[in-house]
Amino acid sequence: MAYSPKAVAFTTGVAGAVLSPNKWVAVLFVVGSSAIDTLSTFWSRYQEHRRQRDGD
Amino acid sequence: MEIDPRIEEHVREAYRGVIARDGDRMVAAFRGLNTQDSATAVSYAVFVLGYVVNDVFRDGATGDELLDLAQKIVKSESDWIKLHSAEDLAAVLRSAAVGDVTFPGVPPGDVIGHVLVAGGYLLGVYRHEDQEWWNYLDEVWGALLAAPGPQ
Repeated sequence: MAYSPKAVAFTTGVAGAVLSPNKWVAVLFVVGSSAIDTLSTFWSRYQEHRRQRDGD
Repeated sequence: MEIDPRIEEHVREAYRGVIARDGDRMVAAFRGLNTQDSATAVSYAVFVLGYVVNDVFRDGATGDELLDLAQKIVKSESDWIKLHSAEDLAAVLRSAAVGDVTFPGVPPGDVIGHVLVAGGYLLGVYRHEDQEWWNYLDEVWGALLAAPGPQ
């Protein structure tokens, strides 16, 4: 499989920054929360939306 | 560059959840990861998303193209999850594609979910001929493993 040049350029150009999450990923977690809590909240919110939409 | 196979399996399981349209499974994939490992898992998912967007749009994506793709994802996944908005999702796609990990303009609490759902969608839809989605994921990891580490 030949890799696409743009994807390879992405890999060599910015992967190091993307895969060094210490400085950035914490901002994605709700304060005092964890990744799984953040994701769980994300999922729960849309479950609730769907329940309301469907009139359950 | 190296990939931690233990953490990679959690990311792969999250994609299994997305492709199975099982949000509980997607969330549960992060169970058992400590804070540092969770951060690494998120970074892997951001990398996958950025890689695939660049693979799909080989000449670079315009804003309109990313918005169009985001609208397709929102519509396609609407029977199991309601993503916040196509505009937010397009911003996530754009950020991932250029490695802007601050995700400007996107609610922080929505980023991880959007990254996983969009990544799973793209792996499933844009896998290459004769590939399953997990083969495409392996291809992404292969490209990363072949890349030189940070200098």
